[in-house]
Amino acid sequence: MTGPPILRAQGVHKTFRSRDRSGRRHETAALRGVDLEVPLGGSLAVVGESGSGKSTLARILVGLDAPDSGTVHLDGVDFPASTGATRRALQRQIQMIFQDPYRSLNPRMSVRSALRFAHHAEQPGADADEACRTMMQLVRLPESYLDRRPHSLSGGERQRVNIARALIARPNVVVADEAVSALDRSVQADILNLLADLRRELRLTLVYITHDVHTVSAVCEDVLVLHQGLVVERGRAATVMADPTADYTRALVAAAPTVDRPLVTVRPTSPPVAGVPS
Amino acid sequence: MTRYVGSRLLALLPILLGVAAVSFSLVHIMPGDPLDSLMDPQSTQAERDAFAAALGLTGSLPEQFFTWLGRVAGGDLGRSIAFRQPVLSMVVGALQNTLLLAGAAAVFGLLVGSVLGTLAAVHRGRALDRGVTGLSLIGLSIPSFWLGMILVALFGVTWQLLPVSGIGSGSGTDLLSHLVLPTLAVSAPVIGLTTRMVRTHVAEILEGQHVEFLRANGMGRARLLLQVWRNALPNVLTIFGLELGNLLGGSALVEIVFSWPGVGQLVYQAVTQRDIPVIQASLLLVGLLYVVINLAVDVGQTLLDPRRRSQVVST
Repeated sequence: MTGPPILRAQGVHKTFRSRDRSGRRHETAALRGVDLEVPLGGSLAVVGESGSGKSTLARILVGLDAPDSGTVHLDGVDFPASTGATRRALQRQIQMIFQDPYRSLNPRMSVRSALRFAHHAEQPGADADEACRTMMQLVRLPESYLDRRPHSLSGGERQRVNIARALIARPNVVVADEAVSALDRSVQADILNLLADLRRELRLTLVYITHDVHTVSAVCEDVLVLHQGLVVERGRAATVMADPTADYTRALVAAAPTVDRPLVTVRPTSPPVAGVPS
Repeated sequence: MTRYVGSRLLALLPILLGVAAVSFSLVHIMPGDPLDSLMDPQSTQAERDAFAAALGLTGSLPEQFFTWLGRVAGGDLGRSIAFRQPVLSMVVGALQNTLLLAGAAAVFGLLVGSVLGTLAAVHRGRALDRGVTGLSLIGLSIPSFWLGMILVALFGVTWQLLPVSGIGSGSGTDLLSHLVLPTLAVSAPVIGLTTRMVRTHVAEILEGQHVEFLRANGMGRARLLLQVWRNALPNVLTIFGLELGNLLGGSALVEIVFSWPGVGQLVYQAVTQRDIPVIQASLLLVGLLYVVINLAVDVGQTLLDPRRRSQVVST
């Protein structure tokens, strides 16, 4: 632990109810009493296979969905129960980087508009253009990209814009929900390195949701393993990934495909050249 | 952008020529000799030749076509055989009435369909969505002329609430009261189609992660829907244009049910009387209007959609 917890979830339950074509009710327990705690400036990876409840947990943490029971405290305040100005202040504190870079930016908006929009929502009246330029430098994109629209950007560039959009609000906590899973392997490494650097530079608290166990140690200090909505293992990322104790974690690590070289060695040497997809 | 519009206008020329050729040919591929039905069986060959010459029915078919096209290009659409007056003023007058009905039905259908489609999208997967989707299917399936007859029977005959024939004095509240029932009849399939299209587009946009981002940042439902609608607008405009175009010809049967003096009614009368100049002119003008509306929709969609706009500007 590097400080007091800024994000704490206790006993979070979430069940989805649906009906099939014949009208029969179905219930899917996505989260079954999940606890987690992330200190200010800390980083926690939430790992599990598809359907383990990772994305549901991410949506609850950022306030997109409400838990059926349990609490989520952000900076000591019950986030799901908050309303009005308190809730808006909390929403400013936690931002999400979405999974799909192709669907997470409004196709009608230029990069500048998307960033200004996010900036204005958080800090009305402040110098949005200056903030936009700063963000582009931060995510290592040329300023000229501010006038581009999403369809003229590559997947990696779009995800950098997504990161910039999340950071322009100056949040304390960033939740990255499978932020690199839709990208090529080499681009994944770029984005993960960028996230790790930004976390250090901005002293961000990061919740990194992923199914890719190989990337966990490179990005986060702590890890929490989810299986069918239950936490089956938690601890220091390096320790858990090297020597998992739960059978499920062992199976997850064993089943993960390996890469030829460590991700941390792949780093961009200079900002991308305008017009050339990274 | 000007170059784009210019090139689209140039591309219209062959289409317009095609429309003219079809308008001209339809009359000629109808079975039987038009002169047989138009002239007294006792008429002499000289009288038949003179009448054929007056109608432009002499010479080979291509010769007839280009002679007719030359006259049309000069603004002369001929004289009606049945009404003995210039065709142009007759067709333009009828076209105004048809445009009024089609426009009212398209606007009403678009408004109702947009509200229902948005409601269904916001409540997707729930009972309201299923109810609205079912209703839209009924709207799409009901033949407009049948619905028109039911409306006439209920509102005109049984309850005697609204006029069911003609356009009254043609202005003010009288015109509006005459417009209500035909508009309802014509707009049913428009409401059905618009509801389904708007539901699909709005639901797709609502599920987009850029909307999730706005929600996560505390944007209220009303502002959120406004944003979603800005994205859906080009698609909705396309629906509007296509529907308006379709209604120009598609409301013909409803015009007959309500004795609405539009192009459909005019063509119906002209066909029964084999009034060739009126049929040709009506088909030509409706075809021209359809093509122009489609061009306007295309250009409007390009102006509204930044992706298409940037493609146009870069080419």
